[in-house]
Amino acid sequence: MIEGVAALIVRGTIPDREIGDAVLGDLLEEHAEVAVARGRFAADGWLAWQLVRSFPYFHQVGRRAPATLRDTGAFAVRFYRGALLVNALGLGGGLVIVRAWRDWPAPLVVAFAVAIGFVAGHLAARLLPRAPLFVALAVGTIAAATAGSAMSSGAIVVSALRVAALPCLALAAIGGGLVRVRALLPAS
Amino acid sequence: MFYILKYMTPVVPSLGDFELAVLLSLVSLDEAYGAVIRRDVSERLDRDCSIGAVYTTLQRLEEKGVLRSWATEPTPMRGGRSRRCYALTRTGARALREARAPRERLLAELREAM
Repeated sequence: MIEGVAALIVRGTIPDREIGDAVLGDLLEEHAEVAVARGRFAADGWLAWQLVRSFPYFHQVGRRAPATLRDTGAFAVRFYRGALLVNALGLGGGLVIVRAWRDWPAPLVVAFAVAIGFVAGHLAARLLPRAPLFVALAVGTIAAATAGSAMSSGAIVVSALRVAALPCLALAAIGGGLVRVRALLPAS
Repeated sequence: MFYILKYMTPVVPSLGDFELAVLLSLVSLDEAYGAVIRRDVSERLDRDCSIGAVYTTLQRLEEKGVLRSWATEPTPMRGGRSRRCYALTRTGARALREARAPRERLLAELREAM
């Protein structure tokens, strides 16, 4: 179970497949060693803790620095195009939710937030295959922040269930990204 | 201008403490790859390091030309995945030698100050 989660996180966050394979192999090798020495439960805990601590680094691993001016230009174009897309999906998702927030009953808003988050996260991860989990997380966060700021402006009546839609939205976006990452995993 | 900038950058890069620990691991290990480097650095620094921090540092050092890496044959023990092994380059060896003097100066000053 935890090995599968590790594979998903590594595949979803490390852009370079070769480096991702090496990192995953190292993690699973140490996990097996810890399992022999201290038991399966301790090994799973060790792996989970490694993943949590390594998560902020994974996006940098495997990302090569641009070598030439032309590469730098191409990198800048890709970066801004990606950033624009992530922001558009996040803002769009957030605004659609705010629209729904106004008229719909709270349980329906939560369901709608989950659906919008999932679709936006999945789309972003599909369109930006380098580090899809980070992209999905960014979309979810932007969408949740947009909806949250509209709520805090006082324009919308807030109930606990409506507030609960915000983290649901962000988590659903990651879920959408994860589905995409699963498709990127090798068949074996 | 890029030509000038290229030759203005130091030939031997300076090393941070974590980078130094990683390079010392590389020197002491027979087959240096992510998992064993992580364990060795953790022992050296007396704290548990994450694999992400180690790989980020390894990549940065490779970009500085301090070390080189290559992939080994995939092994069944790692689920058919290959290891990424690392070794010091000549520039790396020079960087290690040159890392000593400034640290010795700092240590001497620290001893005086304490």
